[in-house]
Amino acid sequence: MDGRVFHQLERIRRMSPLLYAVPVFLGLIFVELLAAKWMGRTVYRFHDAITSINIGLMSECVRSLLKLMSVFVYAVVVEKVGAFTWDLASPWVWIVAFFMYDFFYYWAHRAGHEINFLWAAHVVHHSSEEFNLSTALRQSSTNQVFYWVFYLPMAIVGIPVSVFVLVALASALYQFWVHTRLIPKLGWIDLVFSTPSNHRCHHGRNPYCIDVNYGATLIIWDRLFGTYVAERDDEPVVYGTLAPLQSWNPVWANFKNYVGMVRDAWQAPRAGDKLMHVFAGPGWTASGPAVPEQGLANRYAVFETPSSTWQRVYGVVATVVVFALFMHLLMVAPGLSVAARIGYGLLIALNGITIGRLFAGQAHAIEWEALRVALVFGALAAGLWFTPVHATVQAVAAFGMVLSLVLLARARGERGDAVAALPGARA
Amino acid sequence: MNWQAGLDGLLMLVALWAALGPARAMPAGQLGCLVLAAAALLGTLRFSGLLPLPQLHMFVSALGACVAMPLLAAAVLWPQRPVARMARFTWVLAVVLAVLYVLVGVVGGIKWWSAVWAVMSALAIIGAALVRRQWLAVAAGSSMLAAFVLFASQVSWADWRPGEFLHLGLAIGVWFFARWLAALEPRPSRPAAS
Repeated sequence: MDGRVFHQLERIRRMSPLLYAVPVFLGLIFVELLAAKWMGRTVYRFHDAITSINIGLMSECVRSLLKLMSVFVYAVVVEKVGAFTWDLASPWVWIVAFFMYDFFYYWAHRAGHEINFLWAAHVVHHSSEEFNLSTALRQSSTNQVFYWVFYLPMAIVGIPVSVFVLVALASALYQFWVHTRLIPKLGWIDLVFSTPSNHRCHHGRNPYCIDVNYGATLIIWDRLFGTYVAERDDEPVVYGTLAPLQSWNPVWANFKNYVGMVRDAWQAPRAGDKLMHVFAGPGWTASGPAVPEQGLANRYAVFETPSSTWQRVYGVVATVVVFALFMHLLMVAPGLSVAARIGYGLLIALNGITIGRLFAGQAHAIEWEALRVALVFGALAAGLWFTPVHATVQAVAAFGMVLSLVLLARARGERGDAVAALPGARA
Repeated sequence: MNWQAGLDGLLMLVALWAALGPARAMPAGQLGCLVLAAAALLGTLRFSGLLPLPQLHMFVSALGACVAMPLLAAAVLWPQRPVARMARFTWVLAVVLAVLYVLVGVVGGIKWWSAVWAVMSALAIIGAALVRRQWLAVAAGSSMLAAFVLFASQVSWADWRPGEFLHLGLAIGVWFFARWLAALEPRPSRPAAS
């Protein structure tokens, strides 16, 4: 292996398109929120949207660490096996790469739905019971471990790593806009491209929506391989999965299905059955695959927990803060050690966990959140983290700590009032 | 046309015949034969000078050793299990083995990885077939094992180089494997003549 692989990796390591894409995504979420209000429709729920954003930020932290692993393997395969040499100036390399990527995405995505251990990774994206642009951000943190495998044939035919990375990025950006309920059917476009209408079916738990419409940019692969369905006007799509998450905890969202899979495999009496729990489809049992019954999708109550005004205000402030930390991580990541990046990523994950507990109204959640806020902001304000830290940052951190603690105190008071107002509270 | 291209062509034809004929009902056998046929096709194109893609040929040949051979072994070891009978599980096994090869053989640069899988698979075929007294499968495994041993020991004879022994031995092995599969699968009964 010569230095070219490492040179390419270094260039990719320094590429941080998310730095520009994430603010645009959040802006578009705000636009969708306003548009829905103007149209008199409700497409967002507060807890769900904030959880989606937290899951997305956590996923990107992991991705920033694991991206290089998959790109490294890809680059080595191109270097050692690549069958053809492609001219980067030729449009053909981009055309071939686009079609190959989209084709293999279809199979990766399909495997993600039809093989249990891959579903355990992908299910996070489907765990929202809403469907809006924030759902597009709700991505798995463990996807990166498995899905690169599906694109190795592109390396084998020699598609350069830079072309692969850019085509993958374009595909990911394209897939953002299809996560909306506000754009209706688009006629012939729905027959060729992945569109909001096609993707609404993909996220449904109605029986006709299970395991369909896997395409990323083109929907022709689904039409070719028999997994295409059109959205039905007479049966509204009910979003979510057949085994709902029922939590706002981003870490649990990422590991719930792994835990279930390992438990089922562990309890299975025969070795063959243990393997089936891992490699067969989701819901496999020794007596056969689970078949969703008609009407089941509508019988699940959508997961929701009560939220007070101050809790919502705090949720927004905490998300803005974690978003700022995430953007900072993206900016400084190329200069950080792996350990520092892992530590930073864990901090962002911890933020998601404590906010999730707060939203769920779990015991002592407010107190734990206050402790976390005091430690994080306190460390920043005291100059113990990212030394030397600018005086302005220290001042902002101190202000953030005070503001957060005040908001948490108000939320606690509000919760106390609500508990006191409950019938029989005095008894 | 030279011996190398000719014998690679023979292996390709036998593996294709097996994949499209006797192995059609058993995805593990079919996919294994198709991978061997793909490697042999690239060899034929390479050694005949029609389309020399040496890197790709070597890669797919290595996949033949550490993906196709274990698939054929799975077909003999567990002929009624999902891994041999259901395309989904056959593909899962094939992808897992291919990724292992990419990580260990290509990225890790461990040369003996594919040879070990090939030899272990041939031994597994022979062992399982001996226990069940399935002589066609024993012959298949033995031909393949002999081919690997001759190739590894770099035997030459007259115009024949080690690669020729490998391709001929594999072609004979695949032919026996296909015969074993044909004997294993009950022939579809024809409707009685009225």
